[in-house]
Amino acid sequence: MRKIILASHGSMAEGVLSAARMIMGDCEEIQALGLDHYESPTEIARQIEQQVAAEPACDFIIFCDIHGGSVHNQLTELCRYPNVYLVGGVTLSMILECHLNVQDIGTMELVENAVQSAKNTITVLSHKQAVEQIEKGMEDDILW
Amino acid sequence: MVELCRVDDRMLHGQVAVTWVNQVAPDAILIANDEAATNEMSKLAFKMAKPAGVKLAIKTVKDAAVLLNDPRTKKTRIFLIVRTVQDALELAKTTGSQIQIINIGGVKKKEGSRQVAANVHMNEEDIAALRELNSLVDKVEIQMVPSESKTDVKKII
Repeated sequence: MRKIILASHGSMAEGVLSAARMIMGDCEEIQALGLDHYESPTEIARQIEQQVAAEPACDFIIFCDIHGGSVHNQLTELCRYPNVYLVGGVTLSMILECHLNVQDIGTMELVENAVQSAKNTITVLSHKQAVEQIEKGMEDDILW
Repeated sequence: MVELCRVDDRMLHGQVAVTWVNQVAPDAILIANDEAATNEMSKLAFKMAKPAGVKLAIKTVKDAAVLLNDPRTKKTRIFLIVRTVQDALELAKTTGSQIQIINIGGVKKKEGSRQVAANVHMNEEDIAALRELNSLVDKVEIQMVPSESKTDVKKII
């Protein structure tokens, strides 16, 4: 059993969850806790800690908006629980990959894969590069 | 074989690249759309959005039919994406009985259309095409993403 929790400044956590829902439909087991709704990082940590402590058999993957931000810093303390996996610098693709995973792999491997593939999909494309790619010719349209 | 034919006016986008590709597990995605096949910038965008490990071809509707009628498609799991019900109908007619399951996702509002399901708007021509399509294939389902409920197409036609 695994649960995904998003935590952030402002409403980024809720926003990322909203985008994830638009793409994947209902994601009931994903929670979002942002500082627009919670008074302090401590308050967010307390909310999460209650669940983490109550369900030791469940792995909690906690995604924070930014590495080293106050929410991330506060939640680092929850890593004293063996069922906590904390990620700094969330992207939407990480959430999709973790949520849709059907492979039978451990939580650590799942999180590492999601973070690695998210890093590979952070891209920049300028007009110049787009034109160059088109002129170079794209991979053939093939099905076989 | 065409595992699934998706009708979606945004064609290959997040919902499709992530949830449907995950569900269908195709060897290849075939986008059949006249505009996309002739616009280099939109081809580039689709190529960049292509999920890893899946082949992608972007063809006009006519050329897509040629590809689908190639005997090699028998051994390939193909996820076909079109933009309109009319294009789906044309391909269903011109490719033997390869297309059996149609999934309708987003169809935008236009002149004379009414909403028939969440994110699906159809005018009389669309409904007529849908009716004909429904008589040609096994299943026509309206569903944005696999985790949401399906709308029975018979309620609409």
